[in-house]
Amino acid sequence: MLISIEQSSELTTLGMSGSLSIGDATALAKELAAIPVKPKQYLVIDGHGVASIDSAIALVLKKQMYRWQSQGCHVALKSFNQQATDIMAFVDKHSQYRMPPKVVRPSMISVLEDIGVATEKIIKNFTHLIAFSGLVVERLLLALRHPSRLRVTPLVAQLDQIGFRALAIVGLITFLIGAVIVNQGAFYLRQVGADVFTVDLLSITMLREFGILLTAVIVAGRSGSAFTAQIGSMQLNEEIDAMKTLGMNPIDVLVLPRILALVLIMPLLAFYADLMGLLGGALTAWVTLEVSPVAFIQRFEEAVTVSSFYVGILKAPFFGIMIGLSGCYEGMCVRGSAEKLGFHTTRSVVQSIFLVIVMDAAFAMIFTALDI
Amino acid sequence: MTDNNQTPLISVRGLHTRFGSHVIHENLSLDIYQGEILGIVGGSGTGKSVLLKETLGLITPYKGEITFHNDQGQLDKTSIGVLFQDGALFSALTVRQNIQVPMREMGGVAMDLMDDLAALKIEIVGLPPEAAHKTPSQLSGGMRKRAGLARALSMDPKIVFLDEPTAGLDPMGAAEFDDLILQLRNDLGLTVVMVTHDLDSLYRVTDRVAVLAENQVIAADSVEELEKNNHPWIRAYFHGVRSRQSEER
Repeated sequence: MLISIEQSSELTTLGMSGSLSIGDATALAKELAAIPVKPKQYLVIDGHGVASIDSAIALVLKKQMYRWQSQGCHVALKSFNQQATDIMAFVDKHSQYRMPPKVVRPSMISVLEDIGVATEKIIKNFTHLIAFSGLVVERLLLALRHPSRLRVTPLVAQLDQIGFRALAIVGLITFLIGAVIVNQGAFYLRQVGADVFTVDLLSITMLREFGILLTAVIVAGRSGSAFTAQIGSMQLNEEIDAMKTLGMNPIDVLVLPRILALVLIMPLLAFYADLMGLLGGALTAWVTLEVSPVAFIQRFEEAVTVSSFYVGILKAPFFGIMIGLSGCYEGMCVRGSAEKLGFHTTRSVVQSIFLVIVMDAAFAMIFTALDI
Repeated sequence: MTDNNQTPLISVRGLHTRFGSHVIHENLSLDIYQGEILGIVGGSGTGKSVLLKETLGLITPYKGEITFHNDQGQLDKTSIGVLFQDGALFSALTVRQNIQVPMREMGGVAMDLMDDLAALKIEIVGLPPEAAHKTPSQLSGGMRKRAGLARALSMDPKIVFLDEPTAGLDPMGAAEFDDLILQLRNDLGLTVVMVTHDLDSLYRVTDRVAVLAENQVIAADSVEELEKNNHPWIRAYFHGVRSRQSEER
């Protein structure tokens, strides 16, 4: 108990003692609120045993005193030391504010409102992305009319960063996926006595879909996020504004080299991914199915035509454009704080993978319609 | 304000700091007294902020002692408050939540009391009530500093450390901030340690100024006394062109 209560006929004396601080405030508030009072009663808070109080205790005391006074009681403070008196006066002077209440809406309406707001945001985001694409195309056409204005050094740096340095991870992942397709495919195809078609399965899926799709996902995670982080932190540091004042166009300097690099490097990476995937599959077939490399190549030639390869590679530059656009666009959107940078980086990766897969589906429909 | 017979609140003795082979402090000593506003000045790279961080226990010195003359004899997190240069507010939280962070960490404080306390601190530092529900990125630089100070005051500290409190504020905003610091010291009996480059602020609020040069505190005295000091760096600092302008104002 923090308070001792002494009750005489008309007067209630509340005694407090010790060094009281914020840790005691909640308990003190509860004890004070539990004291039974009648209107017109006299209350005295005796502080002669109090060594020190902090603003939390002062606030609790003051609030309770006002509450009692509004119930018609007479409240007085007695024998508080200088420190306690000072801080209570200070708190009194500064407790005009109430926390402005947060607007609480009925839950059903707020769910609907949230859905509406989110939908509007998504639509806005995509229209802005389309507008941004238009801007990039405009700058690209201008740059093509004056090819000397194309920035070659950053382009080469990006080719190295996006392409060459990604070889290890792209190669490893497609190699493993190739191995897994053969392993799994052989297991199920053998049950119907069709294990010879494992090679067909591998070569068609790898060339048409997996090679390029895996490359795109890796590049989106690896380079798309890097674009957003780089451009976004430049945006936070006002470097983009500085560029504009120095007469440089940030699209020319930052966005075009990145997107061009992706367009150039994605087909090469996809080709390399196809090779590594086939290699992984061929090795697995050799080891587990005892299909010799020669037999594999024979079967491979029967299974695929060159169009399967083109179907995969043709998609590569378009996926590259998607990844580059959404990575750079999200970077340009960063405003305010480092937290926003993280938000936009996440969004750029999710958005570019989403766009790549939607586009892949569109390509699939077109190729089916064209019977390729 | 201070008489030197008083025991200091914090005393720094024989402090050595080095980063690799680069020596920052060598045998540095400094006392901080109860209820004073101590300014720390020095050229770039003389280790003002480093000294501040060592006092706060954020950097361990190479050698030397920093003693807190309180019951525990060491740094007690609830008795200090720190205002970092740009406020260092948690960007994901609103101002109200930022102020309540130390209370939540301690635990056992009722929600409505925390809200009342946050409102109190917001009013103390002179922010408008609506600022409570804003996030740091929605505030101006000056308001962020005030919000940072409100968070520093959240647990009623005895000592407040301010790292360049008026840097980046316009002269009016800086003067208001100086007044706020003075008022808080007078009302709450706070001890204030501030690293600053702002001469106006030194003249307005500090009781003593510690000058860092030659890897040491070469003088710690009131501005009036320092003006009479003949050390070349101190002379240059207090009698330079900018300082004369600031006195004329």
